[in-house]
Amino acid sequence: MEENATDEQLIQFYQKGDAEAFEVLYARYKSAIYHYFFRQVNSTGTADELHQDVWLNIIKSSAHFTQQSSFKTWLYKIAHNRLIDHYRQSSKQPLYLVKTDTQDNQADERTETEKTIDTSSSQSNEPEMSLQKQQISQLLLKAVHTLPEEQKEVFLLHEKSGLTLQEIALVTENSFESTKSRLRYAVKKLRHHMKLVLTL
Amino acid sequence: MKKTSSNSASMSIEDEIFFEKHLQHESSLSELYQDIESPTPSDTLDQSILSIARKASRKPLKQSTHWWQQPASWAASVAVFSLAALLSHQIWLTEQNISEQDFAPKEAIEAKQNIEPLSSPSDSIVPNHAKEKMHRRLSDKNDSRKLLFKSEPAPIIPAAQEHTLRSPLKTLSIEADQTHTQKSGMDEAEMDSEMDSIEITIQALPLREETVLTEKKEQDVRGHSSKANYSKAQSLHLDKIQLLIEQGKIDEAKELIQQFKIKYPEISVSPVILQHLSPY
Repeated sequence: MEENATDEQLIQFYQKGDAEAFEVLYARYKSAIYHYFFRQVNSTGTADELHQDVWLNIIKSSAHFTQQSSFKTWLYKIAHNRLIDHYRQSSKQPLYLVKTDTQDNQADERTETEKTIDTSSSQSNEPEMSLQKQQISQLLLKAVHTLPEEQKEVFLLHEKSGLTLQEIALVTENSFESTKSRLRYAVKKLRHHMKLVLTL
Repeated sequence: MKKTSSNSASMSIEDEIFFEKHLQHESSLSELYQDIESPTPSDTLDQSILSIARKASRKPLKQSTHWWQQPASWAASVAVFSLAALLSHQIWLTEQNISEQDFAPKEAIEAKQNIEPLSSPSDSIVPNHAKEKMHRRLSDKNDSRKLLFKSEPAPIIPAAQEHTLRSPLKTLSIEADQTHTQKSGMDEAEMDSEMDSIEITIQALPLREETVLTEKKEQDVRGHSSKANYSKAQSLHLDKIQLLIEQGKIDEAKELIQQFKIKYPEISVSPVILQHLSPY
């Protein structure tokens, strides 16, 4: 029964004392939340800490959850706020503030991608296609990592968490148009990074 | 988060088509990213989070912070308050109906019962010294007149009746005087002397104020008749003198005149009578 229940029903069951309902919820979202943090901070330790904080916050404030809003939006809003707190607390500046000249980076990455493609093509005779794929994945992750934080967040939320543009706008507290614009630029940059690999 | 400097390059048609596909998760970029293995939290992290969640679920989650919003506690508090009000009302009623005997100690009740027979000393079982003591207490402290006056409202006395404001002992003496005169028919001098003695004895008697007041009223009626008798006695006395003069008994008439002057000094004897008795 609980496997087929909606997120809102599960949190309601947990409010009534059903611990298994929380386990189902956690299983549904643990990977997406952890991925969201890990891709943003690029550190296992920090991602663990942020992930744990978010879920403890969910446990603590589950009684205050109202059925009027979506659980998914509520969860990612908590995660988004926790990430902003992390950036404020840490002395580290976000990556996009350091790298201002994106043109140069794109040129460097392009050459790196070309190198990777060349390497993979030179190794095309070898049956280990998985290695090539893995290298391409690494290139893509590097390209995502170079994205500005706002664009990266929108891309990650859209791509891995499965949120719609409206939901992302709600979570990040931005307008729909600016959210869409950020995603558009993020996709364009990534496409140009992976130009030789990606087809239309 | 600060806004970054976005790529100034304008979006080509190809980019737009690619983006539209990406929005539907149908682009090659989307497929490639989905294939990338996602990092997952460690098992220990999962277990720690789930154990905290289980512990938190055992505690009753607060649905409401206000106790009065819970119907059970509301009903219970209403029941307790109404019960307390009912009990206090019943206690008040019983306190209203309670008599002196219900809460007074037994010794006090017995003492009171022993005091009452002392008013009629003949049927008392209490020893003599105790009787005297109790009697003294009654006469000194528990004045019956005061008690009667307190328990019953005083009679309304009309302001016009001035004589009723006199001392009860004095009015009583007048009354005693008249009754004594009527009954015995004694001489006036004897009456005066006896009046004094009676007055003294009456003063010693404790009289109830009620009886004194009723006697006052009777005396008012009798006062008028005593005055009439007094003037009647004078005229009789004078008539007797006149008769003795007419009969030629001058000496006897003189004696009676002397007596009359003594008895009624305020009344002057008629000069006609005195002319008959004069030697010149």
